[in-house]
Amino acid sequence: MAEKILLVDDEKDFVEALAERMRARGMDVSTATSAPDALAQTDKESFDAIVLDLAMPEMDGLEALKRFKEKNPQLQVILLTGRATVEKGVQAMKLGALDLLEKPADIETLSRKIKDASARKMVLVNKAAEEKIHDIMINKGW
Amino acid sequence: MWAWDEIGPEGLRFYGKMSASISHEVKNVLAIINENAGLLNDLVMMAERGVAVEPQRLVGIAGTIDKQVRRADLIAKNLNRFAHSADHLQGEVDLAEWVELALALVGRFASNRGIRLEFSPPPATPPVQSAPFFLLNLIWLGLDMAMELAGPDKTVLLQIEVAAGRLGLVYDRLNPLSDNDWDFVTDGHVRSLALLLGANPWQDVKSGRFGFDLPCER
Repeated sequence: MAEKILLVDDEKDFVEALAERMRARGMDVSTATSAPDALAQTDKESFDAIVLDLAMPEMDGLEALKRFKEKNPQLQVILLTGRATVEKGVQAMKLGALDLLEKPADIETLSRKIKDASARKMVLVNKAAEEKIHDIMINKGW
Repeated sequence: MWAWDEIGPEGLRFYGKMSASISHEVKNVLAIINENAGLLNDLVMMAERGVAVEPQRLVGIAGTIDKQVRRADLIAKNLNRFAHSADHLQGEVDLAEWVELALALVGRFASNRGIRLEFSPPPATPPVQSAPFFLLNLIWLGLDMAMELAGPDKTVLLQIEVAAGRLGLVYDRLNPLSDNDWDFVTDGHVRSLALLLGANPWQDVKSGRFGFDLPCER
């Protein structure tokens, strides 16, 4: 099944070109040019991975990452940045980012990270489902 | 007397901050060119497999790359002017040109804070003798503070006032807060830079404006 991806970057020309290349690689890609728009899209749809720019107007990537994780801890977020400092990288990992890639990113590396993110999300979703079933079995006392 | 141990480290911080922001801008441009070059490769591979590629599609990609090359050229020109501003401690400066350069350098900081910076230069400004790099540093300190104090319309208006013997840069449309929230005049870095440049910083809390005056010959 195609990975469902949300690309978030305030550079429209970047988002459009990257989205087209990812679609050509069989992914189902949505785009947003601001963090609030991306947050609104995650309210309506579920994504296997979010590729998120670190520096954006209105709300920066770290704040957006925090909000994504608060809303859905299973969301897998890969951060893209033009200036990856160690400090920001550590902060991103602490907030639950799966990875942090520096721009310009290699499409094959990014695709591999997205597939990892998708697999990781599936494991988390399955685990959550198993726990739910286990809880039901225990609490209902069948 | 202005204190070098005050303006030296502040100047280096300013240089570092601007350089980091410019390198970030360049990386963004490179990322767009990289994706569009990759897109061209993808289309070539599709064409080799017999998929028809519309010429207009290629024209669009070439147009995007061209736009980004022009953007990078402008960034490089501004970086070059900024770097050369430190060549001489004293020189003739056109304040309007320097404000425009400062606005180009800090554009990303403003957009990240959701602030619009407006500047309409007067038809002509008399040149001033000043320390070019440190004048840019003072303009930046003013912009940084003005962006923090911006009013509800999130706009900072910059104006140059020309009067006999002085040239003033005004940061306008700020929140008229209490005296305690404003420190342009008393800020240590501003004071040191003002002493070096012979500038006179001022603020009018009630009308939401601050700025500095520079001495000029006309």
